[in-house]
Amino acid sequence: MSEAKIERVADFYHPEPTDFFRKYVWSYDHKVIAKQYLWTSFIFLILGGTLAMLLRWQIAYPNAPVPVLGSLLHGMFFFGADGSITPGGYLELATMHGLIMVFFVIIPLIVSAFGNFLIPLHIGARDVAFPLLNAVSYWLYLPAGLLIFASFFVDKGAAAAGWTAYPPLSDAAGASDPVLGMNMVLFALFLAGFSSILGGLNFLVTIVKLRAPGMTWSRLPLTTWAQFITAVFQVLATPMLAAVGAMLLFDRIAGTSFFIPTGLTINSELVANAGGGFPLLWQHIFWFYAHPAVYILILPSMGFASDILSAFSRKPVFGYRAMVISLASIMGLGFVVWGHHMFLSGMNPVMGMAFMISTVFIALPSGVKVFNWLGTLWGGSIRLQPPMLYALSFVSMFIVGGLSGIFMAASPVDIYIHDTYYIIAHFHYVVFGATLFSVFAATTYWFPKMFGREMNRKLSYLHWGLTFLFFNLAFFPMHFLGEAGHMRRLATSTGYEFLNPLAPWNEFITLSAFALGMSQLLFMYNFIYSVFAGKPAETNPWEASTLEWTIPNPVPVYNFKELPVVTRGPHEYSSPDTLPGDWLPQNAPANPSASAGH
Amino acid sequence: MSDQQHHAELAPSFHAERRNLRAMGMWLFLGSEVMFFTAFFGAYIVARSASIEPINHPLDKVLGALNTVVLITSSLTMALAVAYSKRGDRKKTGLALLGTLALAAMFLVVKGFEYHAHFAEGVYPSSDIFHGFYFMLTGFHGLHVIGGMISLSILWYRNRRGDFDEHYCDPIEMTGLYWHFVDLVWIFLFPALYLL
Amino acid sequence: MTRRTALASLALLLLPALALADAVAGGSPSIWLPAQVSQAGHDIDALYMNVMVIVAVIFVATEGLLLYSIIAFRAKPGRRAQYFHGSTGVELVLAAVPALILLYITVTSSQLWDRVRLAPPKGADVVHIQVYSEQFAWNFRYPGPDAAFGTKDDVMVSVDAAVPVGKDIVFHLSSKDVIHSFFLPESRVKQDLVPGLLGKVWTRWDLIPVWDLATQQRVLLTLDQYRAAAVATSGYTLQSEPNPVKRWFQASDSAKINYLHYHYERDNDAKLVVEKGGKPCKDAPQYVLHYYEIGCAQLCGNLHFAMRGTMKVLPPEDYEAWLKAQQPDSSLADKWNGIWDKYHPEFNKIL
Repeated sequence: MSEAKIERVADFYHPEPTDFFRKYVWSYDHKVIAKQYLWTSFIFLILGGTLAMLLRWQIAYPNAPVPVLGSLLHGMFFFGADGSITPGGYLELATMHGLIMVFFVIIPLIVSAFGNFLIPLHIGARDVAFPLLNAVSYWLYLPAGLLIFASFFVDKGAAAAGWTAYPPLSDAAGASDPVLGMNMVLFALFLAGFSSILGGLNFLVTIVKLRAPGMTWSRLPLTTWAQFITAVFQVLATPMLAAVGAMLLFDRIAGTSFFIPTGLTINSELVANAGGGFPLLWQHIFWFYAHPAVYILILPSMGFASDILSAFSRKPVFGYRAMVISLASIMGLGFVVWGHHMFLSGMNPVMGMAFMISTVFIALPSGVKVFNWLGTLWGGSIRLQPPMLYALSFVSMFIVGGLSGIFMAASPVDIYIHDTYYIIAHFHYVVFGATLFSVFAATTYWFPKMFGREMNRKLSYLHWGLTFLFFNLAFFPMHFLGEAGHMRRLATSTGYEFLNPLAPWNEFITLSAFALGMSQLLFMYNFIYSVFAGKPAETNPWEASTLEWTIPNPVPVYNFKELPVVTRGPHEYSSPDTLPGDWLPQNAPANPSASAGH
Repeated sequence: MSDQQHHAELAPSFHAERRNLRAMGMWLFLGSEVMFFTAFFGAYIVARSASIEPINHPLDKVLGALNTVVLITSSLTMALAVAYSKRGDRKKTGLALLGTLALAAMFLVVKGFEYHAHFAEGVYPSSDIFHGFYFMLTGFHGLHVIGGMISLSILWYRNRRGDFDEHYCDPIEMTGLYWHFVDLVWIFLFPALYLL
Repeated sequence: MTRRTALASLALLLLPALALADAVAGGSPSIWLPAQVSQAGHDIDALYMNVMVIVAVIFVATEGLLLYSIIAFRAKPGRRAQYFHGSTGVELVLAAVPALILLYITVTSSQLWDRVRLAPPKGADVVHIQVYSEQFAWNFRYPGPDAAFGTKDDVMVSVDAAVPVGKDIVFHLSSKDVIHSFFLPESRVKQDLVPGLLGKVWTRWDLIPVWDLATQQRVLLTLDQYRAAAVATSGYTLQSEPNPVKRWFQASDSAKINYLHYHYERDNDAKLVVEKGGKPCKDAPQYVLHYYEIGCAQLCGNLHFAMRGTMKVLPPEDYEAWLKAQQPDSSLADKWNGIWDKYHPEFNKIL
């Protein structure tokens, strides 16, 4: 390759480095960067999960000392002198759990880790469009994560105003305000957001420009389509977060009053800022970003699910075109529904009406996708291997999460259930039940390609069963709590008479959550052990037809020795021309009698 | 591996294609920047329409107009730099880049005078909500100007070193796109803050 | 390895099973909406139930199909999957039918939203109350006989409010410091209180909450029932004792389940006042005057969990008496006059 001049961008790749630093630390290889994101996100998943376990302890056993950790860390972080969780500490836990899970676990996992690994392979390219920018993206994300982690250790602790950080509480809330911690969080979000924008534009250019010959838009795996639509969200919506975060930071550091109205009095002191600002301004701009953000949290996992369901049903995705149109509709509508987070905010109720209409109708494309997943299964030959079980659970729990969303979309009902556990149940079903399960599906599915080894199937089955069971036991009862009016972010509910009958549910949920947390140890062990000592995997253990399965494991630095020429769609399982088998790779020669797969 | 080392091994078709990719990347980046400034503009518009007191035009329109002319001219010199570089005229490219840099520096100097005058009067971002927006918007715009100037300086140096020719001048073109965007933001900022 | 892990997971399963059994044995936890008590509550619950029926049908259909497919179409040797890419007809039907259902939900929701958010009650008979939330208390101001806010005859109270039964009540909401949320769960009333902004919610209570001393439960009485019974308006306090059972997996002695039993007890230090038919009476009271709880539903700081208030619903004559009996409080007056009136006099307009 060094003799002839390189004619096309698609032919170019950075050669494999020999030193440890260029190989594993500052790498331009999308596969290495993907694994960097993967490991880092999994570590943050452990941190975010632990925070959740601690706050569940406080809810179930208010003011009881936390066993082990409480005695070790009493007086530090969120623990009081006796090892129980303080009210301020509880809010810190709730806030940081949300921030870490959204920005440092889910988005990096489904977009940056799996997107990075899969997009070039799925489209038949050697790398992404801008490999250097790709490396920069990771090295913006990691310091952001470290900054978030460090915010726990500073005076007054980490942010505690909820992950949504509504001012004036997040702005000038008096003596309990975690001054440095909150500012660190805002900086970290700025860095992580920048990383996200650069990553998104990298993926967009890659998918548009670097598809292999024959890889038309209608032959893209749905994983790639989902990443494409997600990348549009990332590039257009994330800057809003940067802007509004900068305004909040200015309010906190430079004394401006973007969100501080005149006459704001905390305790008995008039706030020093000049006033004239609008608390609702934060909510509008924040949710303009954060609603597309929640679609960033779900769209890639819909992509994984589609491809996995198809491969393990041995038939094409039902309604490929409708699936793509649904993805695009979700993107379009996703920009005009943000006000449904603000039905009760004091915003003009006429706007509430408008947002209700758009919100109710955004259920439609998601519904179409669910029907199409069911259609994909119908008449199939279903292989219930671990990736499939996780993907099926994704569909099942997405149905629950999506349907519970309809209640909130009906704004008069939202009057009652807003800011209650009903909302918590809804988004955990979608982000944990759906997205995190799809992460488990994607991990077990693509593990052979990423690491050249197999994950232990029995452990995967066990992990799936326990996680599915305990997840539902932990989160379904939250719908009941919400129906009863149990508010969110309450360090303890003992003060309210109407909440007392719900205490047994709180305990039940906590115990299920602990069991859920413990079950994840199985996955952790399976993953780590298999990376280093798992059984070596064959090239295509799942008999799947997309391009990544045509190359050896582990994948060489140049991905494809010769760039593939694509001749068929991504899910052409059981098509007549695959006989006597039931699949052919996407780049199989147009006349399959020459060399049939299987 | 830098562009320099690759230069010898890469065919012109490669450069043309990569330029195409980079252009698309830059347009997307500018799209995200538009959204960034849109958030501020949107907030400013909301704040202006909701505020009861009228703004007494507390900004110096003359200096603002001067800066507008300076920046538009710098966009001209930038476009010239791109054109000369596409023609392979290294000397003129360098001059045009320097001109852009000089004009950008002048913009910042004028802005510096304005800020200094405000601070001397005791007017800070925290003084009232108008000035909060003024400093925020012009501050971020100024940061983008500084970023552009850093890029321009690097380009001038690389041009002198002989990195660019008529087949390969991507960085100048991409910076040109960016610079026109910076100018465009100011063209919205000036009337919004100074005139209306 | 697998057998041990399986046994370990079985042991894990025992914990929530025990807790569930406990919960069910200790008193059935509700899984439905609590009864609503206000006029808007009835409509909101009806909408909720409509949506629930629709959602339940879709849930059963889709999850049922999912389960059926997994079983019916599982891989069998020699069986080949059916090869089809979709069906435009099926797609269109499966898009059109949900669209119609969603349209129905939109229309019914819009009509109700209009009633509860866009059409406040008007007229001289409407009672207006200002609510000023702060970290961490509820403050209420009544306009007094001159029916105007910001004047000398305003009545200001904190935490415990009262309203007359059977009248439309409009709450004017704002906040002194951070965003709070005015939440009356059983009344299905909720709205954020935002500093610098005036919000409005309205409702009407037709029933009076009292506590039945015989059954130690809360009951709701109509005005006539209330007047016909002997009700203690003072002299009783609400007591609670925790369920004294400690479970084997609980961490420490103090960590008893906070499942409280409530009952009203005669407080001998307080004067006993019993009324019947609007007049004092010497009978033993059958009921004690109770209230609805007010909660804060928007994170507002460290004591967000402790921001509780109460709302009594009173017969009109008792309400007037209650208003007259409130003592002026200078610190409260400072908050209202010094902040609300000073910075937002426009909030005092009653339209």
